[in-house]
Amino acid sequence: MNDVILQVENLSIVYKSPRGEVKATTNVSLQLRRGETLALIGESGSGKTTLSLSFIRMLPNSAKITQGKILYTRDGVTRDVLQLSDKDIRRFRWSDCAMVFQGAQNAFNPVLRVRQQFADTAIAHGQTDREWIKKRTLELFKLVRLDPERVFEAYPHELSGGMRQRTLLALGVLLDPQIVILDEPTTALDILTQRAIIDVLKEMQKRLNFSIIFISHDLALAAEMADRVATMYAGEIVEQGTVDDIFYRPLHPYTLGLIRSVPKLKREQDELMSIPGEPPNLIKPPSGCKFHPRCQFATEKCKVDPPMLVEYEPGHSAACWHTDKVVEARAAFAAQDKV
Amino acid sequence: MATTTYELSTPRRPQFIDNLISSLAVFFLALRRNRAGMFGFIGLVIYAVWVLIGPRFVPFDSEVRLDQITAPPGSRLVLVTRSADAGQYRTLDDLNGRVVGVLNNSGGEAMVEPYEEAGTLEVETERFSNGRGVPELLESLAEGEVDAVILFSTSLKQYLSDTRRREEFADLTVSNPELGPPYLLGTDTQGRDIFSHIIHGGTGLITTALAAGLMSTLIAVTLGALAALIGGVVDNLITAVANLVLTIPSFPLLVVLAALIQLNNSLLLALLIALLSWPVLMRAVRSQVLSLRERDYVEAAFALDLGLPHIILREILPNMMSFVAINFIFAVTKAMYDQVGLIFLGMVPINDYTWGVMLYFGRTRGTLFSPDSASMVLAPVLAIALFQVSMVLFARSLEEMFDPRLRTAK
Amino acid sequence: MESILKLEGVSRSFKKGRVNIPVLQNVDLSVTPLEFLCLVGESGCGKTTTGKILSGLLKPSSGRVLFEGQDVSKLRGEAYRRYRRSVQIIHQDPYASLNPSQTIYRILSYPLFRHNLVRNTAQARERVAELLTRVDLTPAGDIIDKYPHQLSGGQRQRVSIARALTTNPSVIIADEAVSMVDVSIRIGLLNMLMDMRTSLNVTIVFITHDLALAKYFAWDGRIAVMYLGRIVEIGHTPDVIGEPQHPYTRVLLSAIPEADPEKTRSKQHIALRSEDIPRLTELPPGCAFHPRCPWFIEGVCDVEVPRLELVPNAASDAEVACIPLTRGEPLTLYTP
Repeated sequence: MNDVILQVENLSIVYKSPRGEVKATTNVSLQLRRGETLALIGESGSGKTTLSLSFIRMLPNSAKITQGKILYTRDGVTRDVLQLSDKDIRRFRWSDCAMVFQGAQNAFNPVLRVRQQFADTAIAHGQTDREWIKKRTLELFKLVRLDPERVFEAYPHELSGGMRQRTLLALGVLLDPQIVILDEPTTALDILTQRAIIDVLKEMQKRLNFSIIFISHDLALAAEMADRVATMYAGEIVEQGTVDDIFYRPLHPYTLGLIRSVPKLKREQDELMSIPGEPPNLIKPPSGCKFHPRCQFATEKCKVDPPMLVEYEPGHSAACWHTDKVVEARAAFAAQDKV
Repeated sequence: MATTTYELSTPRRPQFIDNLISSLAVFFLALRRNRAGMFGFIGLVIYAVWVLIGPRFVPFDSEVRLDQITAPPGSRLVLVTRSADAGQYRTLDDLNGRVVGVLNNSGGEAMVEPYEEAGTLEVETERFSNGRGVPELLESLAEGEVDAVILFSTSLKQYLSDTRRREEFADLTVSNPELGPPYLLGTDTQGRDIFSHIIHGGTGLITTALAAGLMSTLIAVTLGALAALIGGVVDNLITAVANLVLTIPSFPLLVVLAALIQLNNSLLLALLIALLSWPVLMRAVRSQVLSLRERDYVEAAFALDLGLPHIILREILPNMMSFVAINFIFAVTKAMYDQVGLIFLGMVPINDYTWGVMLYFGRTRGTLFSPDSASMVLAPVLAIALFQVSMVLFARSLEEMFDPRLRTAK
Repeated sequence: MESILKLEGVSRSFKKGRVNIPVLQNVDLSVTPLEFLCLVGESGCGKTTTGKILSGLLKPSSGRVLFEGQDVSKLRGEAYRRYRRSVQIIHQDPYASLNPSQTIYRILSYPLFRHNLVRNTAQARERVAELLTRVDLTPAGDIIDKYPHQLSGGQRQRVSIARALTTNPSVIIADEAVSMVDVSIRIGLLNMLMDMRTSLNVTIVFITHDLALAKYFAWDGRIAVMYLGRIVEIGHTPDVIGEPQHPYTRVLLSAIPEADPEKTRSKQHIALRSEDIPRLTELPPGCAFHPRCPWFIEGVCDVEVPRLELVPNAASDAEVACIPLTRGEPLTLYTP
């Protein structure tokens, strides 16, 4: 079960804004295997949303893909998503790859019942057997812990926010996609609602065996669900590895900073660090390593030479000239924590 | 507290100038994108020039010319001579020492006056009454009593095509079909130039409409803001009054009021119109302010005790300017319609010869029934309609312009 | 020590059409000067409403609000104005909290002029620059004449904080002040707020739904956990987080995902009896949490509304609104 179903190669996306050309992503390469959960962690200006939109080719008109491929494999056949015809891309969306957007609790049409919207979606993407749609929808509702009959007939406003979120998840997996992309699925949600969503997602993934890419700034979510994590900064992947690699052995200063800036629920007071400075300007990004203005380990070299992603351990790579300093800092923190 | 000097540059200009310049920049950028708005804006600029400067250049034609009644656009005075003289007599100067025949109370009369006074021409005047006078003039020309005759082109055509006298006039020809300047829009029921009337006829209407729009907007904004911010009894009272006024059909009421009150003063008319149209805008302003009131920065202003006047004028209104501006424009268009409607129906005493008045006379004097004379009604209709269209197109482009999506272009 | 702000039996309801929605019921809260107090809870628990009532922007439907021991609704004239200046707020959304048509200078100088804290423009600019420097927006000259949309979210929040400081307040209510800001910047902002206690003698009440953040902020202070319009547990943070007592607090703490894979994946989640959150218009009788409480006792929890009291013989000094606990009975899982 280790086949790669999605491979992104050197993807660069720019788009035109009134203030200039925004370099949303630069040379991004990733892999996703069947059944795997990949977390793309980044903050504002990281390019993560643009990247996810490119997977289903829903970039705004002002965006242009300047280079790269998105290779998708199903049943042994590999194709470049960017080269698919209009007809094929509509098939691809939702049946091969579904995306659940952020704050999508208002994604439902208020004048249609839930069952109509499920039927409409299925039909729009090629599935016309209504019996099958109904059966599948009810099954999925059970899976996401919703009362199937009640929600099936309901109007969206009759459901609570948490219920709508789960309905949306069910809609996402309706056509049995291989990949589900979730954009900030837990941001701004209450603790208990978050917990319910995470549990539901885990169960759905176990039952239906799809791969998940989720895009978030929430490290806790990644810690809960991800198999692999990639951190993004200023449109580039600065580090990627397994979830343990990233959380316990980070190599990039940004990753380290992120992890050390999240309060933990342990019984002692936290020693947290914040990353100074402001999110990067994607129109005129800093020279050399784009993180250097905010990095405590930055040297002259960092201002000039952009580092490449280098594999330090199998499956764990980082783009930084001074990973050794990060390792030292990590050790210092660890010692501090134990005290 | 340590005294530290902060490196501040004093701002180059006061904030409101900055605001103005950036607003203008956004404005012109948006206009460039929006064709319709551009047309509207240019239209308004043309109207502004027309209404403000036009009257200085084009005198108002108040001279009655009985032979030029309801002439179609393009008609003008012509010179008629005997065929033999056609090459010789072209202009009035050519007729030095000769006799010229003109009609009483006509354009020809005015034209020869200076020459008569200077003594270079002798003038024979025929009395004009009910279309007579023209054949008499032509007869005198045919019989050699006068050497040339100045007539208005339509009357001429009419008579020369009169079968009864065609042989009599067979020898006569138009030596100069362009003796006088053309009437661009024809003439009205008294032979006066419609074009000059059109140039002059906008000022009164537009100023009254602007005044009405301004008053209506001021009343609506003040009442709406107070109702929304103070709430409670004040809100209920204002809303009740607004609802009351709204249930009354405004135009019929205007008509009735116009019949009862002497509306000599156009400012009074403007006020009346404003008093009947503020409720709609007030409700819109009220709901806008109600929603703006919930904004975080307004709440902060309350917490900082910045005071109600500050909150209305500095926090809420500036963020509603686009809304108010657009509604102001619509108020002006509505006032324009109301005014013209009242005048057209004859409900308002006529002081100024405005487009509306032209419409009124056009209607009452039956000019709509003939293609030649229709210009007296069509010209003002077109003038009013184009004004309204420019306003509306411009307002729509303002809407797009104030769209926050465009703001990020700064 | 006398409290600087106090809520006594405060209730607040909103009218929606003909329905009365009781958002807060009978809340007693005392804020000690210079303490760090956190109000924690999920959406609909009433924490934002409590914040607005504390800051005087909303009046309670019943009960009293006391500022420095005096009933706020009876203050007039200068006394009222002093109260108004002393309690300020910071909002959640950096994109909505600043007036887009005003420069930073204007935003910060209006209150200065209004309250006669400066006499002329030169003084105002000096003071504004000082405030900007205090919130780490340096160099001040770069920021002072900009418009809000030219600043980042984090910078805007700092301006909000500076604005709250213009009237030299003694209390600041921060309503989810860091929730919409990038993760890496949150701690910096929070540290700055915490620092203001010592440097400016400001008491801060922090409202959030993020328990981990609450813990970091109020480690030296107290946390109040709210549920459906009532405070269910209140005490010193190490106690509430380390030894949670109220069932709701326990459930919350067990449900929070943490940024530590081993820890979070091995965490035991306490299961609730029901996923449904009751509507405020149909509050359950007795303890509002009882339909979902794993330790529900029939005949006890659904009859009487529990009050905040100490639990006898407990390691924690927190007050808890749970009848079985405050009677000294052990919690037993409910079996139907």
